[in-house]
This record gives sequence, structure tokens and C-alpha cells, in this order.
Amino acid sequence: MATDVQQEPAPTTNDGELPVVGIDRRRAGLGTVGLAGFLGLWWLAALFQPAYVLPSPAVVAEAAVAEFASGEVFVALGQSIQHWIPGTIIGTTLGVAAGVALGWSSLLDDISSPVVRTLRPVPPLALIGFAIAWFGINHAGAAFIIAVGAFWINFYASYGGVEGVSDDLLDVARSLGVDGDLALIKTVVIPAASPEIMTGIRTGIGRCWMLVVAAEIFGVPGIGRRILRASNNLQVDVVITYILVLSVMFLLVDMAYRAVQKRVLVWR
Amino acid sequence: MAMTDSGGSSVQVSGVSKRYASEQGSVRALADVTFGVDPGEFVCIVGPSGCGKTTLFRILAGLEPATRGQVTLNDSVVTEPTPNMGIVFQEYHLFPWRTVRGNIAFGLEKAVGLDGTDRDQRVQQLIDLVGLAGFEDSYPKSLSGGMKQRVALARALAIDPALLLMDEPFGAVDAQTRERLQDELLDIWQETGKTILFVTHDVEEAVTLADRVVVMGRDPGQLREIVPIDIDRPRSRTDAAFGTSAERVRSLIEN
Repeated sequence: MATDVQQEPAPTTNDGELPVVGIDRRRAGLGTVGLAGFLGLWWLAALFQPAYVLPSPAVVAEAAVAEFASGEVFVALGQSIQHWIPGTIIGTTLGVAAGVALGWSSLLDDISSPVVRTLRPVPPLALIGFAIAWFGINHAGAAFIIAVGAFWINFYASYGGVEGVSDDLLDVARSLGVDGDLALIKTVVIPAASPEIMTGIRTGIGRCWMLVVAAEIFGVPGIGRRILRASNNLQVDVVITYILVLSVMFLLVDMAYRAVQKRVLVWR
Repeated sequence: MAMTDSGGSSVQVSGVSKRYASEQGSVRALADVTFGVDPGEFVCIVGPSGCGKTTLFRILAGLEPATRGQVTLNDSVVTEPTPNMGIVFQEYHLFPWRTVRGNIAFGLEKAVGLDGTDRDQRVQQLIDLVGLAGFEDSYPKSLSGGMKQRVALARALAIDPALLLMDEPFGAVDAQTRERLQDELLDIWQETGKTILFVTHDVEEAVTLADRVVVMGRDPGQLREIVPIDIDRPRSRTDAAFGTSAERVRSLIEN
């Protein structure tokens, strides 16, 4: 039977993918133009400003070369990574776990709702006192601040993703013998919510890079600390150098993450 | 493992009523519906939209409780979806993150006493049975409606349920594909001996497929009559007996 399945039109997955190279080249070209224009405007503006207000791109480049040559950049980066990685991983894991649990169980949701709503608006920076008291002025304290930021983003992304899981898929799974909350969460809820969860993780990773600066305000060494110190010394060129380092790091991590995301969500 | 099949089971619907609370007070969806289905029988439930057939389907599947009355499957009361019945929905409800193979294997993954090789073999047999060889590693997004419904059918058959419950399964595909799927379903039914309960609003479809047609009318929730279709298969729609049966069902719905 059904030897003629092929008669039915089956949309192929590559439909939209063929012209991608062309679009990318076009985008890259336009992006280069935009970047050049931005640098030009910057240069022009810098002509009329003292270096402690706005250094020119060339001055920044010089500062960057010096920071790289002295190895300062790598030291600062190494320090920041020591709280960025644990902070991001812990905050993401707990956020996803809590979001899935509360999104799934209305009992847990009802119990924790008042607490969640009270804690939600607290900005991570307001918790610096706790970070110092509980962990000290060290990587653990900074990681705590970063983890709090990652937690809420992932909590709400996962919560929303789980809430959106179709009841019909759950019914199908039950009729196929999947029984119990944990089994349903594992086989249906998490895969079905994975696009939202993965978007949350990506947003969280970006937010955590920003929080690196904030988390170092109270004295933990790293890129943020370097930026603050350079600001105090009016070394705007150094400030910009480290901001660019942060941007590049963010871009690299984001690109790597998107590659993983694309593989995991190949079914979409 | 060969295509061993457990055969069909009997279903008894006894005095099933369903009322919904709404803003205008309580609304009746089903009123005292009673009928039985014999093992291996192919029964269609047919009626116009809003007649309560989808409600009846959901109660049969254990997806919703009845207000009164009960459904029994081989003498045990149905209260929730169980692996004793395979459910096929109009909207397929495939797991989009799984391939064709993964969808069909879903119910077998925790099956007791089925090792990996047996499972793979059974999945492959089902893929062949529904004619999807060559599409094993495709994701649902790249399949047509008819192909998706074949996957849904194979997925339901995988766990070897004694009863197949189908809610307008061919309602979302084009007419040509629908007729082919009907033929395929009849083949599979004859091959496996499953009991099939099939909900549809299409009178021709019901008369093509069923041993007996449970007719529901425009008056919400009422079972009108059960019409036996004593026509040899394969049935031709141009046949006089076919026309008579279809006319009989249609007049029951309209009056």
C-alpha cells in the first residue's frame, strides 16, 4: 500500500536555505559600510574633543595594543571568566529548573507566587550587600550577582515555554503509556518547550556579560574592575578598549551558542 | 518480533451524559448515549458539527470525564488515556522534535520486554505498513498532511492497542489523499483485527468504512440510530446499496 506517497507535495527543508549565502554577503557588505560610517563619525567627533572626553579610534587602538601587549587584557578576561562561567551556569540551571517546575505544577506555582513576585523586581545590584556578606569580595560573590540575573531570565523563559506546551501532545504521550509528572516533563514538556528555553539561555548569557561589569563594582578583579579603574583615571581610551573586549567576547560566545542552538533545534 | 497483534477489544458506552457549565447555565453536550462495539468491529460515529461527537470521542479516550454514565473497555472503566487504546487526532499532534522513526518509537521506548533490536524491527515494519519507507529520518515539518497522519497512525499502532480511536483523522487532507488513506486504514484493520472507533462528519466516509454507523443528529447530544452497513468490501460509492445506506444516514442526521 501507499507506494505513491511521493505524489503528495512534501515541503522540503532547504527551500529557504539556498539564497542564504547571497543574503549574507549583502548583509556583510552593508554592515561593513555601517561600521565604516560609525568609525568615521567617531573620528570626526573626536577631532573637537579632548581625549578624556572622547579619544579618537586611533588613540583607542594604541591603548588596545598596549593592553594586549602587556597581557593585562588576558589577565582581566581570565578573572572575569572565573565568575562569569559559574554564575551563568548556576543561574541558568536553577532558573530553567524552577521555571519548568512552576510552569508545570500549578500547586508549586500557587505556593511560590507571592515570593516570586516579591523577589522578581529586585535588581541584582541591590543584592551586592548580600553577595559580600554571604560570599565575600571574591569570585563567588560576583558569581552570585551574575547568577541572580541569569536566574530570572531563564525562569520566565522556561515558565512561559512550559505553559505553552500543548495539552494535546501530553494527551498523546499519556495514551502511549507515559505516566507520571517526571516522565511527562522529560519526554514531552522539556523538548516541546526547548525553543523558548534555549532563547532564554541565550538572552541570559548576554545579560550575564553585562552583569560582569556590575558584579565587579565592589572590588572583584576582572574586566569590569579595569573599566571602573580606568574611568576614575579618565583613561577613556582604556575604558573603550575593555568595552570592545566585552563586546567581542559576547559576540564569540553568542555565535557559538547559536551554532549549538541551531543543531539542537534542527526540527523546527 | 513479528507484527503480533493483540486483536480487538470490546467497548461498552453506557448511559453517557455530559453537561458543560456556561454563562447561560448548564449546556447539554451528550444525553444518555448507549451503544456497544464488538471486538474487531469497525464503528463510525457520524454527525454534524456541534452534535457532541467530539465530546463523545474525548470521553471514550478518557480525556474528559462523563457527567453520568461510563465507558468500559474490555470490562474495565475508562478514566484516563491508557496504552490499551491508540488515539489518532485530526491535527496529527506529532512530536515535532522527533523524526518519523522517533515518533513511531515513542510508545515503545519504555515497553517492557522489548529490546532495542525488536523495537527497531517493529518500528520499521510499521513504517513499511503505512508506506513511509524512505522518510524515516524526516521531521514532521517536512511532511505533507497525509504523511503526518500516516505517522500518527503508525505511532498509535506501535503499542499494539486493542482499540483505535480516531477523531476525524482524514479531515485535514485533500479528497484524493483522504480516499487513499481510507483504503489503507481498511487494509490495516483487516490485517491487524483491531477494533476501530472512528469519528467523522462525512457520511460517505462513514459508509465506506464502517460495519455499523452510530448516527448523531442536529439535536445536540442525542444518538439517533445505529445503522448497520451490510455491503461487501471494497465498497464502491456508485453502488446502489451504498447510495441507499448513505441516504439513510443522511436522513437520520437531518430529521
